[in-house]
Amino acid sequence: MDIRETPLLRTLFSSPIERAIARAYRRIFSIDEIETTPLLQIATGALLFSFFIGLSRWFYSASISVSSYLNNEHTCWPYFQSCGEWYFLESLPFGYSQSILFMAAFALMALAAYLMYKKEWTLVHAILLVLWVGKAIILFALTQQLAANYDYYDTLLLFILLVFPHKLFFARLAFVLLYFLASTIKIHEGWVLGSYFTSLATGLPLFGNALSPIVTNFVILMQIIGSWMLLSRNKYLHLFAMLYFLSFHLYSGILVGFRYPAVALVMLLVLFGIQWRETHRSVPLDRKSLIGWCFVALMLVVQFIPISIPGDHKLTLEGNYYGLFMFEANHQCVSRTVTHYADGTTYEKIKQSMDAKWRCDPYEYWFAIKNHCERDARTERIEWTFDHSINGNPFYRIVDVQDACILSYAPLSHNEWIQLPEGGAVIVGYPLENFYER
Amino acid sequence: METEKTFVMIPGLEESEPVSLTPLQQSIQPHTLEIQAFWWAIWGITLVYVVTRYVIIPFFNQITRK
Repeated sequence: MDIRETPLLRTLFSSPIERAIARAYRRIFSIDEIETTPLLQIATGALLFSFFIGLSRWFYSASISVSSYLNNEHTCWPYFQSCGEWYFLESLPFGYSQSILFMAAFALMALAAYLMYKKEWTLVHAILLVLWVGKAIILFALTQQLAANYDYYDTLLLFILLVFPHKLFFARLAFVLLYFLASTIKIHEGWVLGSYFTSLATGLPLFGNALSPIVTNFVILMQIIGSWMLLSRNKYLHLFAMLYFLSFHLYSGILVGFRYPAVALVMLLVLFGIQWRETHRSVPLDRKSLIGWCFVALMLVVQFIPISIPGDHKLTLEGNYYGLFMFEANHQCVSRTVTHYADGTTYEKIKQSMDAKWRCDPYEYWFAIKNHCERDARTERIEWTFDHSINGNPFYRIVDVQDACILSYAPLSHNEWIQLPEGGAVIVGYPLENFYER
Repeated sequence: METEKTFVMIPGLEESEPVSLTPLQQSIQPHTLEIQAFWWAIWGITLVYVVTRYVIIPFFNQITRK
């Protein structure tokens, strides 16, 4: 049977115009690559599995619900600060619409799995494209609260498999590049000294604190150099890199749980564990590959946005979520606001971080303050201080303003109201050991 | 005269110890900037090597063959 003439596709696209549409769709998205490459078919299934886990984590989240917008509990991306005005779903317990939409997504995922079994790859592709668009809109447009690197992973890799020509090559390259770019997060005192982990009450898992700098610097080395060994034609180098990254994901899972290995470890095995001898096949440099190379360049550029913003972005968190940011620093913070009302009364509110991965982003606190100022006419001004410690270093008062209502936030540059230690931010105290998860 | 350190008490950490560096970390700490510079140099060299070896040279070989 001709792969282009799969039974269901032939039934659904029967007229000449419909068949022309189907042909154009298949050509635009290079679907024949998926049909002729079993590895891509497995990768597509693995990413569907990752999407399933990711969406199941979002099912009850109120991050994009109308009530979160009305209660000022949402956080938009700095580049789209009015995102809440677009919310139309309501999550449990206040409504069913989000659950209905997510169950529709569930039905689509189940259908995609069945169509994979039937080898109807054009239809699988169309369903995954719909799911991808929905997830990308939630992740990169509607809320910053759900930003997580494991969701970046599957969204990015599925995008490559769905859209680009030379799918397998660019999926492998992007996967290696994700490790390579993740190393840029770690070139920082917290990882060079290993103080991210030694400032935890429970210390570095298995190895203990005494060896912490050796372990963390080895991770940096392997992410910079070892990641490229996954593409090596030397079987010993390839095997070494495979074993290392397998161990790395199993080890990091002690802290991060199943979600990250569910995408990263599975895709590592799929892309580099099966048919690994093909990983070094020729680099595509034809016209069709241009879009893939542009995307690779874009990955590099985006990762460098936070690095290009003046100041330690682990402390200021400016641009932090634009690239990979997992384990960028062990955070502790205290935000104190005093709201001054027109009638002369005041209300003090103190918010403290919960655990090491509580990102302590001044933007998130400012975003809530700004919305409060705009919505509550009784509010005259809000005094705000924000103290932030990373990796066991002192708490710096990085925000100290008399009226936070008049502040604005620039998404791609340094915000002068966030003070840097080198710019005069004062030390207000010292941290105690904290916990990774509470 | 050394002043006493003030610890910021996050709820739930009342029983925790103050953060301190291990002896190995103390010995490395004065050199953290140099080590970071070293890692950035390795990072840059790796990127330049990979791009040159696997993209630029094959690209120009392809052009000269045509």
